Amino acid sequence: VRSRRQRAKSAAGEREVDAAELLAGADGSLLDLIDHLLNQGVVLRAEVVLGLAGVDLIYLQLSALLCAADRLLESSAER
Amino acid sequence: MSGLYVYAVVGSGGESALEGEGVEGEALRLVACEGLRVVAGALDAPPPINPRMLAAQNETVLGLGERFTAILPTRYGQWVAGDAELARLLAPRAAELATALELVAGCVQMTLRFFSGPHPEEAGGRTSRATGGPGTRYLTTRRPQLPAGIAELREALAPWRRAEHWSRNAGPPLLATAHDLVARVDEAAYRRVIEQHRRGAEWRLRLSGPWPPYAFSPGMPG
Repeated sequence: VRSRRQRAKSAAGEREVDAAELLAGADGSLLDLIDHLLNQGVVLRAEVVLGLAGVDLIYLQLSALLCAADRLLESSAER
Repeated sequence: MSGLYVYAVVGSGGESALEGEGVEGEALRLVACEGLRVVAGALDAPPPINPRMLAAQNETVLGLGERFTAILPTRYGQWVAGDAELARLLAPRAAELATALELVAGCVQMTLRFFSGPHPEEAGGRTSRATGGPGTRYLTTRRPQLPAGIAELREALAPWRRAEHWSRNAGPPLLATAHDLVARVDEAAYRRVIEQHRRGAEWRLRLSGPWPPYAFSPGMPG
């Protein structure tokens, strides 16, 4: 994962940022991105239409939240 | 009616600084809803969730964090069909979000990760400090107490943080993670305290930030 800022630097002629540097960097690290992602969660949506012989019969809308458990289940948090 | 991709709930100010772009390159705008101000972009449909989109949202929110003194990032992938759905989602948590905005005003999130073992450079070239047999080493790694010094560091940081989220991890190498809410004006002092405590410690510490206060945002119902 590379941020747009880093892509812009590369485009401007600066050297490429490799994965190890990205992970070790103080900002833009993949670890921190995952941390933010799990802290806030990701909302996943899906829509499914089931049909028969070209006729739509059933519409199914799915919504899921992927999140660190202790953000939603306070009892599991160890403070 | 166009849908809205929601990035953050923000405090006052910043109206003139919304020149950033969203995950699909869309313009950002402020939406007033349920007494709150929300930064959103107009998207007809939810964008596909993929690493590029997640990184783009992360960068957009980082940019917003530099412009607004109070910001609560929302969930990744938070798309609503329009203003009415946004209001329906915000209404039950409006008071909670307003309180959280007050808490994070003027603050950033600092993330501390405690790892077992000293940094190789600090250990003078030692590659392992484990002693005893495999059973001893196993029990050592499973011990309930954190290495000496971590609690002292947390105590020393207490005056500089307004709130914290602290979690123990299952085991080495990552021992624990702390998210501290620190006033922007106190960030330098906070870093100095860490530098004073990390030298010679039996554990390794990785500090990252400043970040928007992800760990202190209540989020919105999905």
